[in-house]
Amino acid sequence: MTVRGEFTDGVRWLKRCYDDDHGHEHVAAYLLSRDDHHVLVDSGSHHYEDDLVQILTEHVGDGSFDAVVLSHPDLPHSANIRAVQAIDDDVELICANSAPEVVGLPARTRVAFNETMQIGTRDITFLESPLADIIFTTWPYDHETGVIFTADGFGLFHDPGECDRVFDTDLDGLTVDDLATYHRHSLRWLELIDPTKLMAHLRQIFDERDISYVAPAHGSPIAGHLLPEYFDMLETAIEQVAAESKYGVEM
Amino acid sequence: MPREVVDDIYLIQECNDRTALTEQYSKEAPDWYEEGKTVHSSQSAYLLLGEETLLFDTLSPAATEQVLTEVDDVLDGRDLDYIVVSHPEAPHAGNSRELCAAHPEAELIAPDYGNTHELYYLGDATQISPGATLDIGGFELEVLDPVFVDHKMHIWLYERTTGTLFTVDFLGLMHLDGECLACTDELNEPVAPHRLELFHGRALFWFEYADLQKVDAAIEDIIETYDPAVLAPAHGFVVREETAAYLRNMKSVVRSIAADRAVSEAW
Repeated sequence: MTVRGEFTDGVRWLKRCYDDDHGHEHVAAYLLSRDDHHVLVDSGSHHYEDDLVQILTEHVGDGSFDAVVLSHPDLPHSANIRAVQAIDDDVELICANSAPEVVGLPARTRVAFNETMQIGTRDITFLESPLADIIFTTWPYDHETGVIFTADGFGLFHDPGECDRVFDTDLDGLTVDDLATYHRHSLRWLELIDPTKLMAHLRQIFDERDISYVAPAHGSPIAGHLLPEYFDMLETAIEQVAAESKYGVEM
Repeated sequence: MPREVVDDIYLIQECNDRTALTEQYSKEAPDWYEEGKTVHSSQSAYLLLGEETLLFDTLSPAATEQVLTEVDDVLDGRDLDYIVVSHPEAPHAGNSRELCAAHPEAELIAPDYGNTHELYYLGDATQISPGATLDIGGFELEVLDPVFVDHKMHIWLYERTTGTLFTVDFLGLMHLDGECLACTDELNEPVAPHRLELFHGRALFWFEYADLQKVDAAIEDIIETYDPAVLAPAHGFVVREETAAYLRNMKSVVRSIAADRAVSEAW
């Protein structure tokens, strides 16, 4: 597991890459820090439990671990919840799930979609994710940094050597085919949707907020000023995936 | 307690009380709600007893003791030969490790999709792809590419001898205390569309963006290709009669979600 230094003030990217069929894929968590207050967004895979605990112990030190915020209880995101809680008995788990025992989670504080909660020194809004795989997925939006944590949304396979890439000044190297490959593989339901409806909802979510960075679990962070260009590429990619469906209208 | 829903196919069902939803309905009830009843969500696993035995899905971590006990009850001393997980989400694969430990003779089988099985504790599983068949003697299971999915690593099954289609998350719903383990042919009323909308509006949230023509075509393709005699979902009633009508009813359910997706915060 590696820690990418702060790509924006107070946000660390904790990640490890895995070889999937289409290239490297990040499996990431993020650590939000301000003074001695820390919030972990997702907990990553059980493969790097020991590394994660060591990194968090070093970074948090004697500070306050205000909460673990979970986007969704899929194991690559949720596997280390109990290990992180063991660092600090008081650390609170916050997520949207209604029945934590059914998805293998310990007791949690439940948030409603679009609810804003004060967590330590910061406000986080839990947006309902329109680009998700499983039920009750939220996109936590941190008002202090302007970072939105998009879990499975905005993912991307990458080549070895691009593991630390952040799209901060441009989208050079990113192609529509790259986005189509990830989304075809990871969000299989896209073949059955109307891309126009989805993209309108996505753009609305982002237009309503001041976004500094998009921070996905399976891709590189993307600076907010690049999003209009990114959305144009994403729309074309999703149209491509939807057009490949065997349930075309010409049946 | 398990029940046989089709000859030698047993339903093992985990029910979860939905207290908040029950409280909401006690104040403002939908037409299908019966006063005083507790609302349940559920997970279903299916155990097939052929010449060999096969368990499809494993219930959630909240039901570990239940599934271990009830699988043994149905097996009645026989070995468990196969444990097949539809997808690695906890309500479906949540007891795969415990079942493998209790039945070391069983072969664990998972969808062949991507390379991240180890992240789901499925690294040792045999991987199967759509098009493969599992012949367990008396039952012949075809592995299907799932049509309506959430998680990417996902399969459906179709059992050719009985015509049973296992649709995993599709066709889920909430049921009431007293309806646990029921099949639709045992209900007093047809299944109200609101039940299906309530479930799919959450579990398959993306119906909000559905291309309705594609959804219609997909449903007709399921009917035309398999003409299932039985529908066996993982979160809903088993359907043993008028399966085509039940499937076609989902067209209007998806239309309703696409037009006005209403999500209850009580669920």
